[in-house]
Amino acid sequence: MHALDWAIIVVYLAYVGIDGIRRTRRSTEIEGYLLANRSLPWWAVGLSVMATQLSAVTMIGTTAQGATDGLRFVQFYFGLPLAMVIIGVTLVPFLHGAKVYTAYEYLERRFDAKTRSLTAFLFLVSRGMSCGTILAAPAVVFASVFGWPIGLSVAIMGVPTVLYTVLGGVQAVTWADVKQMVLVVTAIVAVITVALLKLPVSPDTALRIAGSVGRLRALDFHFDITQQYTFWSGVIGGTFLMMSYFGTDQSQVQRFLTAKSVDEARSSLLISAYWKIPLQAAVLLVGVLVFVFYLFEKPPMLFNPAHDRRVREAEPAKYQALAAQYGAALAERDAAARGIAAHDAAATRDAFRSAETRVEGVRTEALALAERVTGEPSKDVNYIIPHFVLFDLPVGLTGIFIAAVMAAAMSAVAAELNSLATASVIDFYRRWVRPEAPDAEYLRASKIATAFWGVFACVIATYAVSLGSLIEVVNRFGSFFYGSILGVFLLAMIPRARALGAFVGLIAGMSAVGAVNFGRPDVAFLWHNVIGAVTVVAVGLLISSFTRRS
Amino acid sequence: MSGYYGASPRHARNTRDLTHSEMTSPKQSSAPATPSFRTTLIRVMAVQVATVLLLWLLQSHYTS
Repeated sequence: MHALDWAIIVVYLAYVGIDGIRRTRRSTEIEGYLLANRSLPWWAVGLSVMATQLSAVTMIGTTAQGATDGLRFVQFYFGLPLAMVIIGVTLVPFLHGAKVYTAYEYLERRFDAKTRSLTAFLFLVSRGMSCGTILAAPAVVFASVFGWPIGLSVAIMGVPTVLYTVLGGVQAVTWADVKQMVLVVTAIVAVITVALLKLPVSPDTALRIAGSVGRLRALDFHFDITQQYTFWSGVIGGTFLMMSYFGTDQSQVQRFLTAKSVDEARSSLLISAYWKIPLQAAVLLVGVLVFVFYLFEKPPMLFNPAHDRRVREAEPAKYQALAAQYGAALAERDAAARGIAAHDAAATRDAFRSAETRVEGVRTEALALAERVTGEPSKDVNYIIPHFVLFDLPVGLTGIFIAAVMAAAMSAVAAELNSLATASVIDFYRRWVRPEAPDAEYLRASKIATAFWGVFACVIATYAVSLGSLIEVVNRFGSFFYGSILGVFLLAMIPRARALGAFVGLIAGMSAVGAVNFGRPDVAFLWHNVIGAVTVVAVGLLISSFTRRS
Repeated sequence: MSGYYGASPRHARNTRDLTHSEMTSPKQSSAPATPSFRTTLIRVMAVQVATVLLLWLLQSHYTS
């Protein structure tokens, strides 16, 4: 990588650290540290909400999904706009108006302490774990691409993040998010532009080639609960997931609690409602263009450079044989793609699809060989975009994109750390351990809690490598709890719901999701949110009706 | 609110206690009037429908 690219990354990392330290002086009280004295403008909060949700998994995993699977992942977000509007008129007025620090505090006011503590505990467990996997996604890739030890790779992003989050609190997190969001969007737009300019065919032809192998198939209207991404799972399951994530997850709730007023909090959520789907479509389009780019430029047989090196050394004869087959299949595919460019017809599209199948066949064999040699999962989709960025982007833009990946990881992790510390201190330390302590003690405890969760996330990140497809791990883990937690908040808005009903309903909801997950593992995880929420509300109301009679 | 014992009196200064009806009815807290919700919903959904339509056009035009 060029010195200019390294300079961009170093300057970026130094800047976020220094900027965080600069904001320390505005966070000398607990409300300033955790909620910025409820003084932030809506647009900063809105960008922070988006930055928190857009992690390095999006930059590496989602773009790779675009390259290998096309646009259909965009359906995952179809429920988001409606969820944002519903949250804006239901949960936002409750939570912002109640002047709470955490969403779970509200549950104690409405129900009881055990419901609050259980939901807060579930948040700490699920977010603590996912925080680690969010950091792991880019760390694993950087470790492999640059040859760094995984610990160093985690530390390069983890240490500055923990530093500015501990010192500056939510103010540092939010203002860093704003800058990081700008950097991320700039990088995405720049990569799309460069990819289009570097293609030897017109954008229209590029889309025809991508479309011939289904990369532009964005919508699937089949109602099938075993399919992960369909229009219906996105609209129905996605609405429940997004309502739970943006309306009850402290990492998101804390963002809009920092807004000046209820109206500003609502406006901040609408930024995501308007822009999330177009942004995700753009991210996936980056992947689609990279796919087309590698039809005309020779891609490596194995995108993970560490695996490529090890297979080359351990099985040189087999590697060479596969490489020869791969080269021939690529040449055939290149010719077939140019055939579509010259004359787009059913026959040329069929020829291209056959050539693409042959390339994938050789790659499958190479990946199986890599798995045998290394003893590790060899799926290398998360290395496609880093390879493109390192070897095919112009000098300067490589540094910007890597800084953007780091920014995406850091903004997501910082918000998580900040919210994990808030829930730890407000829902447990202040609630159960030291209810009457002075403000300074809570501030100190919040800083210690932030540092603790930062170290925890870094440790988890180093072990997350074996968890498989990182993007699905994060979402799947959340889906175990999200629907049930949403169910409790929905119950809170029903006047006849009672505390016992909420508590039993929460446990019933999680049990139902667990039973479905293990009994019918083929049910797509987005539906878990619907099952959890509906079970909590149904059981909660049933138990509440008995409670009232008794 | 008497049932809330999560905050100390010092911290309770910064919080506004809600009545039961406020906690279960958004209209009685600072919720928006229905027309503004409708307007917002229509605007947001219009943008999303346009996006989905665009994706559908992209899919139907280029996918064989």
